[in-house]
Amino acid sequence: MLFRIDPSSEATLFAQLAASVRTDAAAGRLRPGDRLPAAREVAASLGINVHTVLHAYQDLREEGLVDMRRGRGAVVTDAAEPLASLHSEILSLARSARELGLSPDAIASLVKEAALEP
Amino acid sequence: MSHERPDPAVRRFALVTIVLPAVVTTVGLVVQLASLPQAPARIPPFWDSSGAPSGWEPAWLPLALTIVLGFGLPAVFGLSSLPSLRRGDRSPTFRIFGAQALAISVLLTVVVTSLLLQSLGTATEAGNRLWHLLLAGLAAAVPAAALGWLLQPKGSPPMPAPAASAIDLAPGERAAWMRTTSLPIPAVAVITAAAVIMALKAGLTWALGDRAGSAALLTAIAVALLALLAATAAFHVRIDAHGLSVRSMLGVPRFHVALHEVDSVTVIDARSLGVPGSWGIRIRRDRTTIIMRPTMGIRVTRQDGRSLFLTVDDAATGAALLQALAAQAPRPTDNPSTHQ
Repeated sequence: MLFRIDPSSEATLFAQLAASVRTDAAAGRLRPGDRLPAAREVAASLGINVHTVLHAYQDLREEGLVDMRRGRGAVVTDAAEPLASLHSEILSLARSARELGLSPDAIASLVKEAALEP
Repeated sequence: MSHERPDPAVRRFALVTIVLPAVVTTVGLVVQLASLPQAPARIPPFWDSSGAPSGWEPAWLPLALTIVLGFGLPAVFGLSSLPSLRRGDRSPTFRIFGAQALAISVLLTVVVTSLLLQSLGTATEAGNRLWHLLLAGLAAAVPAAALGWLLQPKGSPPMPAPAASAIDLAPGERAAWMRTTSLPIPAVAVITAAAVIMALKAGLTWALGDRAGSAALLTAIAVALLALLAATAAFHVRIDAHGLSVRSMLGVPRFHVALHEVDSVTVIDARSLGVPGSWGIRIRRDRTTIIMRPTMGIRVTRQDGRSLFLTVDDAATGAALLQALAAQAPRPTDNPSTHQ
């Protein structure tokens, strides 16, 4: 599980943490049933507040990607599976977009627009 | 898929572990089959110290034994190692495996065939016959092992692994990678079962109350097995601004490499370390290896030359982060005034 946060980014720290988990799930590095590291450990490791980590885990729970269980912590749900099935398509899309000279932001907004279309 | 000729190491290994044992076993079988019509229906497999048979078995049993063990054992040796040899792994262990496979098949064939021949009644003294058989078997197996060793090419030293590619970290970006690596479930189950059996036996011995000494010993063994399990079955790995830390579930053993100590980080396959089929922790003066599964792992070499290797899922990501963090880390030598 790789967590990355950039304090200078506009995105909130908890959104960046949640995005890290989503990225790992999409890449197949996190599988259903895997346990996320304890919030306290992540916080100590990154030098951030434990509530920030818990906030991120809570958001992921509302999204359905993790399940919070007393005594077991945050466990990845079956929702990680469809995310991982898109991984190779996402990679090939990113590769072709890069070859065309599109910036990561441009790719993201194009994908977002396409996803919003009915 | 290319169908080029497999390289000599693979071909010779297959020859020594599969082809030659099959030939030896076939010759043994032919001799046994030829002598079977003259053999009595039942033969004595073993003799007691006075030279009298200590049991009887049907004469076809040696044949069955030769077929199952003669073809089966070398095949197990061969097939378990061929995949990693094909992938390009080289180590003297494969040469030892090959020599062993051939020697075992020769030993078995000679002992079992002579056993059948001796029971034909042509044999002289009954006493010490088992010794004669074993000596004859060993006399044939030792040169076979030497032949198996010599037939295989000398292993070339493994290619130096390329350094792990570093993750791109923006200035000020923080990152942490965490992962738990554990033994395969069956291995854990076996150790747990052994500990539970010991605990039950200990409980029973305590309950019967007549042998406190052995009860205490059994309890100690059960506790030791459980401690062993907790200390070696799973490790938590963390890579962050503090460096690499590896900690067992028990808390000890634990290992730590600070970022400024890191000299190089590589991702290598545990199977290329020359310890096929083995797992566990090996701590030597300059090299510590923690092998949980036969998979890829992270190897960190410190600036003083000592290295730490451990197998872990997604080793590439962990190694890439460690590489990036180590490249950013201030080195004590860069700025001696801030270093004690």
